[in-house]
Amino acid sequence: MSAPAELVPGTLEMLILKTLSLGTLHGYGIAQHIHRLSGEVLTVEEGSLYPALQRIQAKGWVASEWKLTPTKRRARYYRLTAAGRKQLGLESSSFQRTMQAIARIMRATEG
Amino acid sequence: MFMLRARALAYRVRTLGRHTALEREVDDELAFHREMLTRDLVHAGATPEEARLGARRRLGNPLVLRERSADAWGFPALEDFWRDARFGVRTLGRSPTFVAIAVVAMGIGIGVNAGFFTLVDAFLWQPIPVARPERLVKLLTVDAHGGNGVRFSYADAERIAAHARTVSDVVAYDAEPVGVELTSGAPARSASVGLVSGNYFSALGGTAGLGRVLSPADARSDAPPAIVLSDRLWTTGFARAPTAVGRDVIVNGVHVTVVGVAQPEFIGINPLVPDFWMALPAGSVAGITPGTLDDPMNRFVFLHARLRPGVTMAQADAELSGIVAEPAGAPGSMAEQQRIVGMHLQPNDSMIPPDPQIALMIAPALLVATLVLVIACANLAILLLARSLARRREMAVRLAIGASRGRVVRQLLTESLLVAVAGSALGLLLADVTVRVASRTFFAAVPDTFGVIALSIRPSWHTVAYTIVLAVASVFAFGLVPALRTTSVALGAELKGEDTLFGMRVRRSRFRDALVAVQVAGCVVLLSAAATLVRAMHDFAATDTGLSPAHVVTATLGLTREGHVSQALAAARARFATRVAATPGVVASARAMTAPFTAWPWMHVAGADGGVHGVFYNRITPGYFSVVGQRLLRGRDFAAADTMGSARVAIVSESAARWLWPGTTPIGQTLRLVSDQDSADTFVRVVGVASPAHNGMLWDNDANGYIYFPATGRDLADRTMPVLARGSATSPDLSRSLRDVATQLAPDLPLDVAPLLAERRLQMMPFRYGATAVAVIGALGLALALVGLSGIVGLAVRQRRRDIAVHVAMGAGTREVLRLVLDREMRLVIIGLVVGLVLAVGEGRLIAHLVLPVPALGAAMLVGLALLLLAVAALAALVPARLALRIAPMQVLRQE
Repeated sequence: MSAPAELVPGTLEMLILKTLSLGTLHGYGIAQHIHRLSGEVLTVEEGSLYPALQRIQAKGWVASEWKLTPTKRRARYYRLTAAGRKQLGLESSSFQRTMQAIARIMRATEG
Repeated sequence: MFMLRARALAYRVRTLGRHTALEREVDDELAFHREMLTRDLVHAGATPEEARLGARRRLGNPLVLRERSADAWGFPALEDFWRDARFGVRTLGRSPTFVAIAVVAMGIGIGVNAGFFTLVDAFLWQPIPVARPERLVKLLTVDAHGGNGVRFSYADAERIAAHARTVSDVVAYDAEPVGVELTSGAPARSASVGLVSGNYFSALGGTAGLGRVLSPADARSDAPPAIVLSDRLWTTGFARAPTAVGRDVIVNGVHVTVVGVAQPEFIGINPLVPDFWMALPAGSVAGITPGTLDDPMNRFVFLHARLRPGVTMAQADAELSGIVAEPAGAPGSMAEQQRIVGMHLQPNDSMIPPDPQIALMIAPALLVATLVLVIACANLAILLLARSLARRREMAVRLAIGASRGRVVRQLLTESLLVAVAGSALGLLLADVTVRVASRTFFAAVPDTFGVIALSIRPSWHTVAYTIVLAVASVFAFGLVPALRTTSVALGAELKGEDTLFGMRVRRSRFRDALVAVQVAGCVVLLSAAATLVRAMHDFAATDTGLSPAHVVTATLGLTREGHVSQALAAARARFATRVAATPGVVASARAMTAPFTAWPWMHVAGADGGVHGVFYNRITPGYFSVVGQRLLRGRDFAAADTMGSARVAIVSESAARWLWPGTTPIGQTLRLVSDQDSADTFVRVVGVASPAHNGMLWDNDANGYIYFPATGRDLADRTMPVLARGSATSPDLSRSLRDVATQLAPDLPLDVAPLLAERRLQMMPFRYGATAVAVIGALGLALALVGLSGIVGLAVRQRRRDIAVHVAMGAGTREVLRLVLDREMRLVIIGLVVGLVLAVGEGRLIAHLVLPVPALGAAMLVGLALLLLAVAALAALVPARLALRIAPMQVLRQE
């Protein structure tokens, strides 16, 4: 297990959207998924996760409903909307470009 | 982007006001999260207790999380405001005295401004109450010197109406006093008539409540004379009987038919509503119009029109100038001097066209009104500062538990806004009542010879909007600094109960110093403006007119227009004049074309320099001078022989003699009277010099003096020539005696009797209203400033209790303590006085320049005013200052 890293600022919403593009999940599930998929490098702060969920719900990118978990517990499940899918496309391509640009600079200065 | 905004907005609207439910959902969600976290930690091998603590630690403060989630719901700013407002109401509810004083102060400040603005709005911005007022224009003539005139000849009116392409709906209007007999045999009563063009009603949207209104057919020269009654005359003269329509009525001796009654809402182009309307040609037949309609020099009608769509004012000016421009006359002739060379249109969608000149006239009044609000705001700021002293601990606690300073300031400003809103509501109410009552009284005092002012002046939404702007501006003016001050406390010190360090002087704020000075300065300006107007009023009342109008009455028998007096009426008037002269109690009597202070006919004469000069004139019978109290300085009075018209003689006033024949005796000189018409000039010989008299409007400049002519037999036959009678100081009721004479002589003729002084009082009326208004405003300002000053000294005493206690403990006496408290305050008062005096002189100049030629206050008056204010300020400061003397040092010091 490598040392936990900070989330790149501004990427939390994108990560949530990406996670939800795979299926509906509750807040805890989203946090777990991001943590696991990042090789346990990224930890999503609950203090950021839930306000972010409220924000993107307000923007209409996700919708939520209360459902029972397989273990028969009531939880709020979030689902990606069509608008959210479009937003995810925009954000990930913009993120790709930014990352490539940063990578190029890093390579140039290293070389 | 737009979609996103719209969706977010919809979400906020959906979630508005549902905070509690939404918060519960977030709480539930977090509880679930905590549960899952705990379960996973237990799976990873932690004890249940460790897992629970670990989960809680990771989730942090649930309150903060909930708050941050809530930012996405509803409209946080709006909901914060709502919460602040509710909290503010509760907080304010706990200090009713503060609220009462603050709301009243604000109410006065806003009320004065709202009232003033209501008047400005009513006359300058409110559309005049006619149909489609937007493109209405008033037509002005332009003479060779670039001067504007408002009156046109009827011929011009017809020509413009027939040929103008840039304007439509050209309406002509003129108001005249007449005598009417509503039923034959009934005594004539005086009334006012609106003489109008045929399209007047249709163009301005006037409709009939009964019968019909006038139409262009009524304005043909061969049309039977018809009149339309105002709702008022229909009520007072016909008891609203439907049979009034079709009735035969006698106007100035001419039979006319009532064809209808106008709707009560119809006011027309002029806010003075006449008793009835009549077409101009019919009015000419009844002898109501001055002169004849076909005389191009007989300019008496006002013209209004509508600018056609797409036409600019300049285009219309150009076109109409071409229509009315008159050919050049002989150089130097009267006709050339008065020649119309062009035309100028003025927007007339409101009562008074809002031009820069008007704006300037308003400026001094606006300054006065604003000052009251400034004083009120200073007052509120003082109250808030005093309150902040008491609330510093509360603020410290709120800041300590994590409220941001901006948030607390916002909350305090919301409280101020509540006060301002309540004060504004009170102010609007005050303004509405005051303006309504005052304007109604004022309008009622205007004699109804020219109609009745039918305006009901109420605050419009313009005024409400203006008030809101003022209220919000006021909140920042009086609330911001105290709010910042309140929240800038040193947290630790405040919570520990330490106000100041032992014995150290409290730092005084510039803001508070400014408040004192501003209040005093504002007060000086207000009071000096009031004093200027009140004194001007007294000056005018006391002006030596060279006349002694007391005990003089004017009496007019019968009501008809000049030039249309029947032989019977002329004979009755002559008999009346003779009988009045013989009435016991009458010391002297005479007849004159115009009584002093009522009308100002003027003419042109050739001066010593050969130039043509305007001068006032009158036509009088022998004995006039002794009736009005003028002295004959040289020469002789007119004699009975002069009235035969054979001898062309004149008497000049001393002021006229001085410029007409400088350095020589005027008696025996010949005076050339320059004819206004095309007829030849005439010459008269001067037989006497009368003492100077001020006959005109009180503030008029009549330095050119007067010329008096003997009334001829024709004057006495054709003109009204009222009788002027001087009673002895002991004769109790001269008017009554004259009435008795008239009743005996001609019971069917109305008699109009009025003291000469009544005319003067009428002239004084605007001054009385203006001076009263400004005096009341000045008094309000003074009262506010006193409360404020008293409050600020009280505040200083409370803030410096410890300081004072120390001084007292160390043996300071009454004098030292008072000096400690008052020294700085009084110094600020003096600074305020000096600033105020400088501003007051400026304000005086403004009034004199822009409004009325009133003399500025002299230095003695200003110094007196300053001393008065200083004394009052000292008194206001002394009351709270005495609190300082009652401070028990040990008690205060023990609190340290």
